[in-house]
Amino acid sequence: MKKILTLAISLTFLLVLVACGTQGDDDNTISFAWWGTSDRNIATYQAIDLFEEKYPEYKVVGEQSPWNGYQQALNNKLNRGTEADVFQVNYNWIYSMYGEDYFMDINDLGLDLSKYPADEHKPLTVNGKILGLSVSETGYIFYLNQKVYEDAGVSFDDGARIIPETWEELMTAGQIINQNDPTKYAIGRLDSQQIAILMFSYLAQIYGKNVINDNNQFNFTQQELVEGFNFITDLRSTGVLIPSNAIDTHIDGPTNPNWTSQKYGGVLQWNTAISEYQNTLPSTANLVMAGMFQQEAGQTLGMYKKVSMAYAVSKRVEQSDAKKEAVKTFIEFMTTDPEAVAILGVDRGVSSNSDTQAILKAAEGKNFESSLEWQGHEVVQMMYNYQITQNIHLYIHPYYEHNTFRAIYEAPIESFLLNNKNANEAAIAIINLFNTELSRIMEG
Amino acid sequence: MVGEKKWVPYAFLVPWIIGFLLFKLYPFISSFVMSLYEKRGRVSTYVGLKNFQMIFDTSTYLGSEFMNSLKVTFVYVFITVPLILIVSLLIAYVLALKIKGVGFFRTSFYMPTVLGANVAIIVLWRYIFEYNGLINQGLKLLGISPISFLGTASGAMASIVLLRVWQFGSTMLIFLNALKNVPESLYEAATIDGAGKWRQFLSVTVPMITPIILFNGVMRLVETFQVFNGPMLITNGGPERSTNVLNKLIYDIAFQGGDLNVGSAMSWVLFVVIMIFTILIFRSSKYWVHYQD
Repeated sequence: MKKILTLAISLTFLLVLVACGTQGDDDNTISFAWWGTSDRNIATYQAIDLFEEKYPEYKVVGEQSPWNGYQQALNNKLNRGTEADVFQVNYNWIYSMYGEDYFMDINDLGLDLSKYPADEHKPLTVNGKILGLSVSETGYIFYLNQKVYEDAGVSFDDGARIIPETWEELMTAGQIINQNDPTKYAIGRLDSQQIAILMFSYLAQIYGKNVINDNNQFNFTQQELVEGFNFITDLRSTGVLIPSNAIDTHIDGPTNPNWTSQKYGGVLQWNTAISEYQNTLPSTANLVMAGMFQQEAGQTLGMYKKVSMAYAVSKRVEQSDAKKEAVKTFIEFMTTDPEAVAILGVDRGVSSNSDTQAILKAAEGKNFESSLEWQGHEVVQMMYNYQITQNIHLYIHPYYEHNTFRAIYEAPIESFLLNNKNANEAAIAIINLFNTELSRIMEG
Repeated sequence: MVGEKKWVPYAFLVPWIIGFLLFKLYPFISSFVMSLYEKRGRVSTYVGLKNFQMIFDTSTYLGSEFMNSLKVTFVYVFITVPLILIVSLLIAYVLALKIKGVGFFRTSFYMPTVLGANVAIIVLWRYIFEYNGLINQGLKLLGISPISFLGTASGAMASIVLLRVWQFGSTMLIFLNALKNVPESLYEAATIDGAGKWRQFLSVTVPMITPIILFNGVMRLVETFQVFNGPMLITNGGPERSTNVLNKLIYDIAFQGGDLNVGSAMSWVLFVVIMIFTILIFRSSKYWVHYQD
């Protein structure tokens, strides 16, 4: 009996010790962490299998995770030093997670960055160190369910087109759709985050200003902000948006019953994330890319973009040349190997690497260029590049989406959307706290 | 043989002790230490009580959020705890009566506790209270205008309170057991004195089970101060932060925002608040709790 009990206690201690231990750090084993849904997970594991087949000297341990909880887990792992060798990050985490302390400078890996546009890695660079390899860029654009518009009889230019191009046309479409069926809207429900970017895009079209200027100050006046809120009111009174977010409390856009039952005719979303909305629509729907509506036909303004996601490398990898070589081989494989690129497709967005794009275009039987992600990517890049020629730089500030800072503008917008604050009150609430809180967050 | 007997109870306690040391005591102490530091990247600096000063500085957004969450938590606790106690005591009282099919009702009322506040149940709960949810579908059938439960501060608070009150089973079972231990002779004496059922309940039953009311009250108080699942999954702290309870704010700050130091300071404030209320209840108990011995 004594022996059994001693054994049981020893085993328990052993289990605890194993649970507390860190992962093995074999130079030929690469751990790779990412977030994603099932499509991305399946494709990533297929690419990993292919990598191990082509490079039998290496083994890859995949660490998949859903989006929810990924950031928290990564924060904890970085604190404990147990992060994966290569891990997917949002671009702003480079800053909020003190990337300089935890992420390796990928210059030291010797990756060929010449195939990317010159400024691609600028947002990922801190004190001259490139702390992540850009996977893709993304911008907020509209996608419309054309069936909703067709069913209501929306058409422009004497029936030549159905999809609106200007805000005025969008409001006309909203009126037609909503009068035809009062439960239907040209867009429907947008949350505070979406309304914020919609409003800032609209104001950028008029004033040519970024949300946050180079001195890290809010760039719009109270008057301008009120104008933005009044514009949202116009969208709500013309059947584009629902009149109050209190009448639809389902906060998850893709699974919203009004979206899936085609009562809502559109969404404003990052072009890299549109598949979530596409996948929940019935087969009768026809989701099309509508870009960003304009003040006047023919304009291409109001496009904010950012690096969608990046591959960061743990600073731990710096300590071993063999490990660096393994990681470099793996990242190069994931981004430029023809078979791997074809498997991974555009689920993480469209890479700006010219070699990767060429492979995607040439991939047999895939037709990636017709995907909504690709169409969105093209319009985002086209509009952004045009704005640059006009000296308008609408890049998402690295702290704009910071988890605690975003409440500064999202909370007043939420109150406005629930009709608990008017345009003036919401604008004052944003102006009052924006600069001081941004400065506080940036100081850490 | 005697030696073996001495070993046995300790051996069975070992897994619990290890779990307690690793997952309770260690985080408890380390969170206090962390609350006195500020971390930027890999560099931790001792800052004394700065984190505590920050969360009580209502001129900053963080301070105002903290005070809002503290207020929301108090509202939640002081509505939920009395409601749980009242509902579970009344149902336990009914179930203590010798009525037909009491076993079935006892099981039925305990079911919500078995199901608990797990994610699946909370998601289901959310669908019930949504604008297009089950309740409003029912109201529509009756020709009544839908209510925006999750779109208003009071409706959202009511939803998370109801979720917790709905799980009254454990409290009810403890009351039920206490009710059965009230001597029958006291009721007989009260009946002879002309007391009706309600009078018997107030003057005999309640005083006799005050130790159990104290126990249930303290347990539920400690538990509800730490509520997280409902506000996180049903309302996400909204609308307009009206259900952003302290634990949800701590989660946002510590894990979403990555500031474990300020999150730890907030946790310690929550701990102190719970401790103060627990002490107050215990101190007050000498005035209203009656022990038979």
